[in-house]
Amino acid sequence: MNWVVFGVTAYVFFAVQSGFAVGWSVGAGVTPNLLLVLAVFVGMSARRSAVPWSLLVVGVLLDLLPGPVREQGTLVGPQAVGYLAASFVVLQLRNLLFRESVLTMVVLVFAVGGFAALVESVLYAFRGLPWLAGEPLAWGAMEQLWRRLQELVYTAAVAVPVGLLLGATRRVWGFSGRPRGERVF
Amino acid sequence: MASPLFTSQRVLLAVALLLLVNSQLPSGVGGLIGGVLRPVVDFAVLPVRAPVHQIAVNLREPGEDEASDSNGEPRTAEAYREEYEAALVTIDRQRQRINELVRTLEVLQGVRELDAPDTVPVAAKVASYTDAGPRAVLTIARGTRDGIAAGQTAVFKTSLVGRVVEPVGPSSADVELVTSHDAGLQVRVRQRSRETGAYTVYDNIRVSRGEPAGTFFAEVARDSPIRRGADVLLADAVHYPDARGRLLGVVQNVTEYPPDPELLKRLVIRPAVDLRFLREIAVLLPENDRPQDPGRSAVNSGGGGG
Repeated sequence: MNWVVFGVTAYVFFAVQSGFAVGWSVGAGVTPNLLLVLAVFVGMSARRSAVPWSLLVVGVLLDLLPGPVREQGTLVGPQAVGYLAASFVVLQLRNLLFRESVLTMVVLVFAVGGFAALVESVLYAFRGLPWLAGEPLAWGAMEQLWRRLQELVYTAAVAVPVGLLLGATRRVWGFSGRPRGERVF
Repeated sequence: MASPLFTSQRVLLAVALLLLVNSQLPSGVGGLIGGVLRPVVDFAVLPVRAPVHQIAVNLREPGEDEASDSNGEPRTAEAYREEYEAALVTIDRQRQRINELVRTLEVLQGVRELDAPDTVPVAAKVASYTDAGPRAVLTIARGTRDGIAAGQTAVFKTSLVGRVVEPVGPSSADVELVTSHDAGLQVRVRQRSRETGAYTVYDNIRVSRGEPAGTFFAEVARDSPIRRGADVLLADAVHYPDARGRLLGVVQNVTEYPPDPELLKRLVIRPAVDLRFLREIAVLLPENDRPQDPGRSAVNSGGGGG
C-alpha cells in the first residue's frame, strides 16, 4: 500500500469529517464516519501486515477529535484500540467476501464499526471503575452504542458513493495481490 | 534472528498495550499524549477544516435567505404605494426594535455584577463543531499564542457560548458549549411586562441540562408569572464569574413538572442563538492577558459575526 496516498486521504477525510459535521448532522448530532469508510477500504485491499497499522492510525485520528471525556483533554486510546481490534475482524472477514463490491464495504462498515464501537464503549465504561481511572462518564454504555448504531447506518449510506470514489482511485493506492503463502481460511 | 514481520507485530503489540493502559489512566495523566498530538493535528488540519466548516454553516444556517428581495422595479402607481406602505411598516418595526434594544442594554448594564473581573474579548473563528454525545465542542482557530487558556469564557455578542477546555494548542483550542455543562447554573430571569413594557427580574433560579440536548430545565413555583419569551441571564459566580449578566437563553416553553405538578412547573430554556452555526465567537481574556498585537483581537465583544 502506498502510505503517502493513505496519509493524504486520511488528512482530507479527517478535515472534512470534523469540519463538515454541522452540514450533514441529523437527529441528535449524528454524523457519518468517513475515516471508518477509509479504514474499511484499506482493510479490504491492503496487505495483511499493513491493515492493523492503518486502522490504528485511523483510530488515533478519531481519538483526536473532541471526545466524551470532559474538560481534561483528549484521551488517545479507546478508539485506537477499538480499531486495532477491528482490524483483525476485517482480516478474517475479507476473504469470505467479494472485495471489489461496494456492498462488501457496507457490510464491513457494520462489522468493523460495530466491533470498534463495542471495544470503545467497554473501555470508556471501565474508566468508571473506582480501581482504574474512577471517572465515570455521564453517558451510559447503551446510549453510546445506540448512538454508534445510528452513526453506522448513516456511514453505511455514505460508504456507497465514497466507496465508489475510492474504488476508482484503486490504482494509485498500490495494493498488491495476496502475497504468496497468505492463508485464505 | 527475528524476521521484520515479527518485529512489526511486537511493536504493534507494544503500541496497543500502551494505548490500552493510556485509555484507563485518569484523564489528567492519560490526556498527556492527546495534549501533545491534538494541537499538532489541529495545526495541520485547520487550513482545510475551517473553510469546510464555513461552507457547512452556510449550507445549514437557518433563516438567512428569507430577506432576499426581487430585482424587479415596481412599474405602476399601485406597486409604488404598496412599497411605500411596506416601508412605513418597516420603519415602525425598526423604531420599536431600537427602543427594545435601548431597554435591553439598560437592563443588562443594571444586572451586570460590579465585582466581575475585567476582561478583553478576542475574536476567534470557529473551525469545527463536534457533538461527542455527552458534550458538544467548538474548535476555534486561536490558541496560546493569542492568550487563550483553559477556563476562559467564550461569548457571542451578549450570549454565553461556553468555556475553553484542554487541550489548548498554539493556534487552536476547544470550547465546550454551555449546553453541555453538567452541574446546575444560577440564573436570573428577566421578563418584560405586556402592559407597561417594564422589566421584572426573578432571582435565585437554578437551571440544569435538559432533554433534548441543547436545552436547559428550571423548576419554578407553579404560580410564578414567568412565561414564554423571558430572557435568562447568567448569575453564576462559581462556574462563569466573568460572564454574569450574559444571556444564557430564552424561555421556550413552560410545562408541567411531572414529579411535583401541584407545587412546581418547568421552564424549558433554549440558547438565544444556535450554538452549532456560529462562525466567529469572542473569548474573554483577563485584562492583564491582553494580546500585544491589537490587530489580532477584536475589542468589541459584539464583533463576532454569526
